[in-house]
Amino acid sequence: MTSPTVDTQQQVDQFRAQFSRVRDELGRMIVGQGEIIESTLVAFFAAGHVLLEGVPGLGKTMLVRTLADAVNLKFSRVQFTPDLMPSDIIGTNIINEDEHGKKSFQFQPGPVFANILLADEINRATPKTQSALLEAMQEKHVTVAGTTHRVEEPFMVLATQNPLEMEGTYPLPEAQLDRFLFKLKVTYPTADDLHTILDRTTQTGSPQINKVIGGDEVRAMRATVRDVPMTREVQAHAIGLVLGTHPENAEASPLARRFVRYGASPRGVQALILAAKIYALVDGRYHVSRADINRAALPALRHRLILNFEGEAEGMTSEAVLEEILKVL
Amino acid sequence: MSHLATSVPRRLDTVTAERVIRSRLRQLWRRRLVAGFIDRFCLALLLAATALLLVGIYRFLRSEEPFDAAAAWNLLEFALAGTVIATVGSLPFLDDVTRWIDRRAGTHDRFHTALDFAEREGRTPLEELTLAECLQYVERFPVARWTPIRLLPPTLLTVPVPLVALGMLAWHASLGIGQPPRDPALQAAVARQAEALQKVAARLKQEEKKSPSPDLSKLAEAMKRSAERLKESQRESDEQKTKTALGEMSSLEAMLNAMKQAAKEGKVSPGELAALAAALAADPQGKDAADALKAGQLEQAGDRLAKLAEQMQKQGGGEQALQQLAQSMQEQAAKLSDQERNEVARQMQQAAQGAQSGQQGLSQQALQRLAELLRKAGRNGAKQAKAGGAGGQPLTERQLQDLLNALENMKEGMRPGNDSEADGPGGQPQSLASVEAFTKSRGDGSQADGKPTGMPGGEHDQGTNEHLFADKPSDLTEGGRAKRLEGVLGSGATLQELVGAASGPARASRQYRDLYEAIAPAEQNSVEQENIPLGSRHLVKRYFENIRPQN
Repeated sequence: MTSPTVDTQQQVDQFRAQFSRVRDELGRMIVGQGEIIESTLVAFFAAGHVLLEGVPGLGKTMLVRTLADAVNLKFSRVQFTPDLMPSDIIGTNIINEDEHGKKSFQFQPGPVFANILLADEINRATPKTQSALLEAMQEKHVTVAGTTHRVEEPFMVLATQNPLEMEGTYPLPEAQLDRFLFKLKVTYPTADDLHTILDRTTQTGSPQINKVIGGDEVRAMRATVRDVPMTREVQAHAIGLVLGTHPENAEASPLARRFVRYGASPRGVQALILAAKIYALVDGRYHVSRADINRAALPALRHRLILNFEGEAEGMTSEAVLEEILKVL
Repeated sequence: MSHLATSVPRRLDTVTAERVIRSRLRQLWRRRLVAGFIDRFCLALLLAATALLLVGIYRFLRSEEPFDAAAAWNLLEFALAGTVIATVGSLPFLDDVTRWIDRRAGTHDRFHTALDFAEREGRTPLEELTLAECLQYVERFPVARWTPIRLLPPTLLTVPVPLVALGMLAWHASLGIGQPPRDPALQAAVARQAEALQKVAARLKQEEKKSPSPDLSKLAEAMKRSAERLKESQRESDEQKTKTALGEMSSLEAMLNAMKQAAKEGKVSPGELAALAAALAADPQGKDAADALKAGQLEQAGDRLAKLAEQMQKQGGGEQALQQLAQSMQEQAAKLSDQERNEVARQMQQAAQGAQSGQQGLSQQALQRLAELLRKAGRNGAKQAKAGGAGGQPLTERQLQDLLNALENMKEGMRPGNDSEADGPGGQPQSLASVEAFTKSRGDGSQADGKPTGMPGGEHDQGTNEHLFADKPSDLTEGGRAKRLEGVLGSGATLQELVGAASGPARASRQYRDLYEAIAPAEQNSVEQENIPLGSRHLVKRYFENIRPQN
């Protein structure tokens, strides 16, 4: 029988402490949006990518930039525009001439070669450019002219997008959407939050962000997350939740049967479990519970449900479908 | 319930860990069982109380006693039994208890996880940490708080029920409706009926002394007992009283009818025997049976007839012999007068009909039935001889009909609106008048042969009159031989014509009175012969009385 070692206990304690420090640091810059901050960090330590959706001016970009500052990692930002080309993101081969006059192609890395990539207003670029991120997000490498270039770990894409109803936007392809661990909806700040924002931004002096953890700590924390145990029954609960979104499944909810065209993919269950593990650790536990799974359900699955025509026409949302499934489970 | 584990929880070996979690779960299981039982019982009690109250109010509104202690006790027993069954039927397993408490108390699946990990071998360090933390939580878990053993608040609603019950009982008693008012007319009618029965029984007893008869003695005893029961029923409710009175009358009526049926079946006229003997004598094989008949050895004749029927069935050419015998029987039966016709004549004709229509089985049955009738008549004759020797004499159909009439008159006296039984001749009640007729018929042998009694209610006795239509000689008989009716189908007004017209928009072509008179004999016949429940027979009669033409 393996006994619980002090090392493991320390690892877990360290995880909680570091998570807490980063969250506090982000909270010093970002006013309100506690749930968004925590969810972003959960996705970050689960080695996932985040899609932040909200109207301009809600602090999405600020959140990402602050995260990059707080974790002492390489950060780059790409402003997506309709004329942005894939090579603008992943890089390209350029002709380089040495001192002897010999010319050769040299790979010029794009902004994707960073630890944290901010893909700002990702839905303003064409689908072709959006898809340039696919390989990097999943495989953690890019291929240019037949040569594969690995991106540095930890790697995370934080994309922001405006609501799809706005003009000049291109909806993200389903394959691209599926690669985001979480989709978070940024809402307007409350009156109190606005007071605090004004106090911080319209007076002299602004908070300085300290780098509280580095890349090594992030990698160690990511490893700790994977060790969090869970029972088979809790795992079955997560699976049931995902299967409930499949309209062809016998156990699908009535809303899913009626309004969903495609349910969540296996990546959805993976996202649920990983996020739930971090929620459990942050909550002071060593094991995953159903409540953790349920808490992760909306951010992890809402972008993986593709509604059918009737669902869209009726104004149905994937959140409503998921909430119904959660009620039944 | 969230708490950060800031120190390393204590380590537990697998056995200890399992013991700790299972012991806690068993505690939860027991408390849940008890709490579940109490919850269900509270619910059952509430339902029972509601039902009791509703029934009580309903009975109170009907001026009946609102509550019945036995019924309330039964209801309580049902509630308890239902609760026990429901509780036993939903006994949970330990796994179910873990799921239930995890969901109910928001434990973040610590019970389930502890049970799962405690059973695991080779746990990882994080699993050890998890198990230790979960067990710590489970040990501190306030079991009593989450499985409280208490009565459900709605159970308090059952408290007013006994109070309301007592109040309603008191009110009911004060209104004096515990003893519903008795109908004096009904009481008087029942008393009259009891008295009449007693008198009839006494008269029958006297008659029995004069000429002893086992039937008479039996009847007198039965009537005496019925009279006593009727007197006892005076203490009961009106409804119960009416039931008892009708029940007693019906059982007497049934007894008389059974006697009458037995008398009818055992009756064989000499003419019938002669006709049967003549028919059998026409067949060489039936000569033995004919001889026995002529010698008055009825039982022996019956045996021989049965044997003859069997022989005809078995031997070749039996069908032809049977047809000849049947033909002969038909001829002889046709010669019989109405008075002579009884069951034997009917069976003879049936045998003939069977043979003519090619239904040999029917004829065989009729022959067997004839044989049985002869044996029975022989046995009855022997019994009568014995009884005559001992001073006993069975009652005839006629006499039994007189007694039935007496009973019918008594029942009529019980009808609502009949303050007293209609007077018969001499101012005495009709029931006693019918008994008088009975005693006369016993005293005077000629009455027993079917002379009109002249008593009301005695005119619908079947075939007891010398002539069916009063004193006028019947057109259907002529010197004891059947007369064929002459007529043309459809030449006169018919019942069918009337019924057809009545269903359409046209006016009836016959007067209602004509129709009534046409169906009245059939009605009387039906009421006597159809299988109508004895207690309801007077209702059918009353219906026909009600539809009788007024003018």
